[in-house]
Amino acid sequence: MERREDIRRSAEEILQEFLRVTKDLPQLEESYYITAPRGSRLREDAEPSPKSELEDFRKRFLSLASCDELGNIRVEVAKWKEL
Amino acid sequence: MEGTLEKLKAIKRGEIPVVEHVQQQLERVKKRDRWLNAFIQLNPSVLREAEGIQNKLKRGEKVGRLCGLTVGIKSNINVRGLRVTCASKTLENYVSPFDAEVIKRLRAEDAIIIGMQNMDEFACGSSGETSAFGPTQNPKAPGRIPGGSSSGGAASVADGLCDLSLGTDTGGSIRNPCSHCGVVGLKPTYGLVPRQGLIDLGMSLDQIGPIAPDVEGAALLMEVIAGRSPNECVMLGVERLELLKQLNDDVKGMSIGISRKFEELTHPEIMQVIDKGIETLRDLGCKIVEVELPNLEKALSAYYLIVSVEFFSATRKFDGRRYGKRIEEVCGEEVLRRILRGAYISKKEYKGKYYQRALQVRTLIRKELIAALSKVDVIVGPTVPKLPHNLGEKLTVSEMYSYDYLTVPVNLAGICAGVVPAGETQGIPVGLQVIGKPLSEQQVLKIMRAFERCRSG
Amino acid sequence: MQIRIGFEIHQQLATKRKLFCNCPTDYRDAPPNSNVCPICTGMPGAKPLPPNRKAVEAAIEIGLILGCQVITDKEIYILRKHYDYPDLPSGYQRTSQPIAVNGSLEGVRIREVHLEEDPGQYNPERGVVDFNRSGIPLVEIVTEPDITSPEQARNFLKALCRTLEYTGKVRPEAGGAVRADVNISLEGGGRVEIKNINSIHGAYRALKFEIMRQKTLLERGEQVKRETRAYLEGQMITVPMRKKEWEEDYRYIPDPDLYPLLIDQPTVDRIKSSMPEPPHLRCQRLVREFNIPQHVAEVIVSEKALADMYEETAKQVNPQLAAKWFRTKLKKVLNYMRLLAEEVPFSTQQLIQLLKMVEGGEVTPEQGELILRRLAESPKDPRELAKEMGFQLLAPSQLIEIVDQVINENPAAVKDYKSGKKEALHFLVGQIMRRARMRADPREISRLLIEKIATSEF
Repeated sequence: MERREDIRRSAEEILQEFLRVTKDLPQLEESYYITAPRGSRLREDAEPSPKSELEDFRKRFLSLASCDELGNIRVEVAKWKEL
Repeated sequence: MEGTLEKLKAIKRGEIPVVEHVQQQLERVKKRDRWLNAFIQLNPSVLREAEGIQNKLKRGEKVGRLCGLTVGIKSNINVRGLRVTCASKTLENYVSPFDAEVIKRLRAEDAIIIGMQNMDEFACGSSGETSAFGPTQNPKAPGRIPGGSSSGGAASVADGLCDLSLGTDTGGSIRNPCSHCGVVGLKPTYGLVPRQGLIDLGMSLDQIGPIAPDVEGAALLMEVIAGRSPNECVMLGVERLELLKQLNDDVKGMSIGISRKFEELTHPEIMQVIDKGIETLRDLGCKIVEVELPNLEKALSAYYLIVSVEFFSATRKFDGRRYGKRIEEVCGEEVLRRILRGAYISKKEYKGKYYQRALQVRTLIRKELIAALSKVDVIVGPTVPKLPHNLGEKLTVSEMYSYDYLTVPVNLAGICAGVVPAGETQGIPVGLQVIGKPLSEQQVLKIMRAFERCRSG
Repeated sequence: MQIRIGFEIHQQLATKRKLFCNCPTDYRDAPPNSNVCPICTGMPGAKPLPPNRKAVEAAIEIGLILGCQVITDKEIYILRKHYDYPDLPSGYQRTSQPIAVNGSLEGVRIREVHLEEDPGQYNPERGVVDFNRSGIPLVEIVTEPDITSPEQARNFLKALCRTLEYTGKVRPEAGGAVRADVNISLEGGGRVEIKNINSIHGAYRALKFEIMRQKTLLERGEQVKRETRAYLEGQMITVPMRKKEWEEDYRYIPDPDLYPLLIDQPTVDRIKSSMPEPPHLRCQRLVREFNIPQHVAEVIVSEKALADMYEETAKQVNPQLAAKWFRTKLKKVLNYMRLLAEEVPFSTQQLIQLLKMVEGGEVTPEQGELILRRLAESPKDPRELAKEMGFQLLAPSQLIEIVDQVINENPAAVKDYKSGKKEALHFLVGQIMRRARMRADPREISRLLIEKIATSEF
């Protein structure tokens, strides 16, 4: 955990530099999106993805982790259940 | 050496059989890559794909615009069936179940995906040394870092291991290694190239872009990957780009902006090469104009704050449950550094002081660059402020970050910039950075092409 | 004792595609992880598609039907809410800022309505996850803590579910389940949040338990601390939850991969004008327009399809008769056969025909109810059914004949009735009904009997 402490400390160096160089800058608007949307981009609620596409992905997806006979992904048992 | 477009013509005409072309490159990879370490995984079906395209040509069928050219893919772009590792132990066995949008576009144009390329782990680096699969060499300056994070992409193009590469640029990760390795690269305007399938570093900063041995190759690859996609949300409305048509036009009368700030921040040996480059542009009939970039260097720390928050958010999915391992348990130092920093400054009590304030600085940098670019066609200058260090040399965190001074402002502003080889110093390549307004890739590439043509005599 | 209760209710929206991808949303019968894609399973590099328009418009409509103000011409960010849990594939949940604010229902203020994506289904005992549900659009409705008793809470939830059902835009949960987080504070003490409530009844019981638990603490002079608890349905109690499971700091940031929503006034106007009338307003209107009692109208508006059926019926049949039938006989048949009004196999026209037959005296109300039951099983022309079931009433002359016969055969009973024994009349009516094989209206029989007896010699 000492390694983590060192890394954490080195991570914070640039924060000091940031505060220093921006000290005298005025307050400005925050930039969240560089590309300006033209109106609200929404997607029509039409027919969902075809079965073949879903089946292909399911095969590949389940092969990446451990799963049970039905195709559920195995993860941890809830910690608060173990109390 | 023949240019990309000539090579393509020869392939299409049947002068270079596709399979032979690919085999030659595989031979070269076998010979060179053990030392260069530019590739993490080669595509096992590459010869089969080559055969398919060769047969298409034989049958006289219509072929794609990248017909038979080999493209190396940075290991943070999803390619179905290949290991998309981000050069990290976290994803070392992650076999991708889907193609990124740009890969779909490459396949549609009959490109041949030669393999997954080495990079800095999760794109968190500017040197090419932080991969969990070992560092990449610089073929043009042996013993020096190749730059990063698209280290494998730039090194393999520089060494002729593939025709083109796809890299990604968040704070300079295409431009930096292209400068150090002496090849051509472009960071597109933010929102121009689809990011569906790109494993995030900083969502509001990342762009996928071309790495090529020449400007025409970069322009060609750019035409294929750029343009609106209905399969993601944050995109510009541009349908397709036309870049090759006017690429070789005369640049006489175009105005080139330069800033004294570059000189202040950059090593004099590098500036010498850059200054010569600017003279070349003047000789071509361009007008050289001085522009003001008073806050340029403030972009660096603002960048690192924003990218850390976004990267922290992006890596929450690496919990080891559905694929791979839990990232904090196996990742390298710089990756962990950005995660911890991001977690810290996005906390309720610190958000305003750091993250939101950095977003304000972003507004300032963007305003400044756009204002400067309103006076000229492009701004030109160095890509990196100092020469690449020797592989394995120990640098402090801030010494490492300082490579990014001249590249991150472009990402913060969301504008485009390309890099073209400008010369050498101490035998180390130096790249000229050409910065343009949003959606001015055509101007930027035109200047780069004219410059390149001039230099090759 | 001052009790303040508030709700956060989540309801799935009825869309074909998920909120940020094109996966199908019908997961109830699907094998685990068969309705998923890279986006809703949080694969590396997968980015959301633009939000589902139907979901956004449903949230606007729900806001309007709850009397809220929709946020127009202002960016509504979709935020990332970060926390670590096995059912959350990306390690954050996408949730919007409020879409509509400041409404009310049954005297309870609605603070806000917003959109968010459903996480997957995690079975904590078996330690497995199914992501079929992940990414389905949810509407979240947050109330102010204006509720002051478990009874009021129960009634409010019923009214809210009914109102949501009216829009036709929500997907009913299996078995009428309701996903609600409840918060409660007593006498200004710590605010306790209760999670894992899945039914209106559960909410009621959880609140009753929690009030008792808190009262006990306060009586002992202890403080009620602010915490999150889980409701255990089997035992009807609440237990503390580990804080780590529900971290306080979600590190909200606007999702850089999604543009904020921007709703303009024309969109709101369009939705408002095509919206169904909310149940409480429809109830008032039915009372006014058709002159029916309040308590009858309330039953009629309990289901939108039922109210639709009523209004169509009341155009052709006496509205008061129709209303009585809807409140009693029709409701009885629906309950007995466990049908929702929108599920009935017979058409409204068939129902109208039946009521016309009752109105016109062709069948008795009792017979009508039997025909109705048949209609609900296998719909047909009600006249056909009446014939099949032998319900056509006797012609008046035939009935009079039978009445005369029975009077003649039962002089003792007639005498009893004349001397004041009312039961004797019932006996005689029964005899006539039997002889008439039910093809007569008992009220008509009574009337005839009384008339005849008055003029008879006995």
